Amino acid sequence: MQPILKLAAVSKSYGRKAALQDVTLEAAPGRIVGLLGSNGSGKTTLMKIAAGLLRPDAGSAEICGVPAGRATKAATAFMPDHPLTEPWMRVRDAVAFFADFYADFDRSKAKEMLGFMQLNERDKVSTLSKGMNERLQLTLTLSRNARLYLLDEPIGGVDPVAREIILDAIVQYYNEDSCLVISTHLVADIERIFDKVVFIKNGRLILHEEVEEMRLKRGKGVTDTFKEVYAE
Amino acid sequence: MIKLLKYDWKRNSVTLIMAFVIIVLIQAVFTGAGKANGWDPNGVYAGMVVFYGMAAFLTFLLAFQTYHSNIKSYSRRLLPVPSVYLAVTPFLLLLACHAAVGILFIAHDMLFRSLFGWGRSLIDLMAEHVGAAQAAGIAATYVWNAAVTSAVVMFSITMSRTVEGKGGTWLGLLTAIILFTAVPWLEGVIFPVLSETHAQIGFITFFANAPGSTEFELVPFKPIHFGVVLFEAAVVAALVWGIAYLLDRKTKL
Repeated sequence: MQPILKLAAVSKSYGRKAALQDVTLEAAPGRIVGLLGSNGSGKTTLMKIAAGLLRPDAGSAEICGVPAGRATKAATAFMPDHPLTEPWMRVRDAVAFFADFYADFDRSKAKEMLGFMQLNERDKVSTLSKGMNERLQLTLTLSRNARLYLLDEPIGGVDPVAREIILDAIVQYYNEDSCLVISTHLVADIERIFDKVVFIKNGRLILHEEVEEMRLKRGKGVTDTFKEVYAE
Repeated sequence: MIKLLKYDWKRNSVTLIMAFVIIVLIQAVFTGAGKANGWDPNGVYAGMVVFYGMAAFLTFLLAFQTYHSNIKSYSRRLLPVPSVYLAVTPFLLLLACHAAVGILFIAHDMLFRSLFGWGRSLIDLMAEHVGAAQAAGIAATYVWNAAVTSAVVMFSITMSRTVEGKGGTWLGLLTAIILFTAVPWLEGVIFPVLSETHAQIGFITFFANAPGSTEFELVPFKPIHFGVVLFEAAVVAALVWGIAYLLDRKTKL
């Protein structure tokens, strides 16, 4: 089966600082992949390369066999750690914006998700709390029927109640024929939804394993393995 | 692209509508005060033209601010559209704003003439001395110069976003200064002035009767001078390509 996301020997530097070094990774359809690492480990850079926002200095990034770039943006739904909306928008404007530009945007799914997330279409984006804003960004991202979903720190900075709602929404609404990559350093809260985890440290991929395999082989869950790896 | 233009308009609509109302109010008060106090129509008219000029200048700033916001926004950078559209739509918005300011100016000019019983406005001069072809030449030159200026400024803004922090700001300023200096200088080197009695701006050539004369003939679309326009077209094409290249590969978010 052709992987949805394929990174081959990807490297990226910002000036002298190496953000990613020789990263090779594949992610297949129907999988929820956890991209785990501490702050500054290279998670966001990897996400941006997969989203077609950055070009690698070396190596290649492909989405469904197509080099990541403008062509793959139509098949990739990226929720960055900054808003996908604009301050002048109301919730309904944000939905209309996505519907206008993304052919795979599902308005009925968006409407259902807005209800689930307790968001009001008439609310101004600039007046939403951090947690409500995260819910809106997630609604916009998951309402697309994309091949690849990239969620960068979707539960960062939100309260535990909002976290649960966001995680439930991810599991309930993501398209199962697609691949979902979630980057986070809040491993304990989100561990339950991963099929596979990728650990990244100082721009290098240091572990790449199925969650079940990890439990069988190491006798530890993702959180404990994460603590062990990053305590070193 | 039309959809992007729609969202550029929505982003700026409150500012633009407020600015439009303020211009109308200022001009109404200024013209009304001039009429009520018996001010010299020449002075009142000059003030009115200056206000419209300032309004046109401010729309340039708004268009460049819109472009700057576009290239910083995930909402725009993630769209599956050519990157260069992020620059083209603020330019189209700029042209639409200038058209609106132009229409307001013409309406005000007509009102001014009837109110002051005055027949020396720009519209009068145009009607007297400028034919349809010349008017088209002036309009084309206006749009062309706006395009060249926009390409230079937007390229400089894009350059400024390739480096983080103050370094980026200085890089953008330096790029703008170099381009605004080097392009006219190169034009002068490649297309030297052959005669002191004619000069070209865009699609218009001015032919004077003698050096230093204030009387001149205005000739539009004169083919022998299109080398300058072609040179500027090449510069704009290179800058637009540069904008797309930088947005795709170098510009930070």
